[in-house]
Amino acid sequence: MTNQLSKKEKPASPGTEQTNRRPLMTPDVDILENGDDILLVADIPGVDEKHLDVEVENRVLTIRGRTAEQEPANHRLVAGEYSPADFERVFTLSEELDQEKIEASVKNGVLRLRLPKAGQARARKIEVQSE
Amino acid sequence: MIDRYAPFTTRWDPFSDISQLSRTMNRLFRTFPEGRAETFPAMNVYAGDEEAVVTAELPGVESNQLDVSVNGDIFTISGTRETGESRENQAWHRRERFSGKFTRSVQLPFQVESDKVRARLKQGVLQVILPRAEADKPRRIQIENK
Repeated sequence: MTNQLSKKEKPASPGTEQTNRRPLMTPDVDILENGDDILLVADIPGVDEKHLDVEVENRVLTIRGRTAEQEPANHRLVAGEYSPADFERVFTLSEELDQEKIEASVKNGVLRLRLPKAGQARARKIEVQSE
Repeated sequence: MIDRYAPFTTRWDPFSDISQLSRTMNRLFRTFPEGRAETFPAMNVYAGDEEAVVTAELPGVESNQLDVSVNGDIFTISGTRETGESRENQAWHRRERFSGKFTRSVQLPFQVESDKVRARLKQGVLQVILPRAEADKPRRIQIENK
């Protein structure tokens, strides 16, 4: 049960960000599961719903976001810990999840994805007969 | 699908992987005056002629959970971020997001007018604009020609 969502880490490659010079980061995520669904929560500061793409294709879930944060013009950076970044992370979904019923919402730079389990895939109890 | 190596559509930058690596390393070994690595929230400090700008990545933090203060040239940000979900029979598969209380202070490049500071929290990014104190602004000194 522990490998329902196996992370497929893609190196933050420059291939998808040729049109802008912002770095591409892997967002931090929390993934938790209960009997009905899997909840995936990702930190994507600076990204709103218009600049966020969540795609599922052949059990591969891709989260892509473009930050709206701009560095202030005519200012010099005196202490820097981050660059306003675009985000991308890819997950492989297990077959028991219902891809059609994924719900997504974004608020305050946090993406929440609810991935419900498909009805027939829920744990089936198998009767063991004694002979 | 975009082909990364399409020869005529994409300009290949031989240094992009290296600069990407250096950015990643910089992020891994973030250091600030306190010398603590990987602290929440990540902050940037910018200096302009009239004002300093501090930005911080605070995804999931509401403005009422956040406290911003300035004392002279010391800027302090503190608050709480709750990421815990409480659902029945839940199992964690991954827990990477910071959770808990945080406090960070940074020294600004100059003294600021603390009563004119403006702060805005948008999509999890805090931006604070801190106007430079009049008394602290550099003055041009007239040189007399005798």
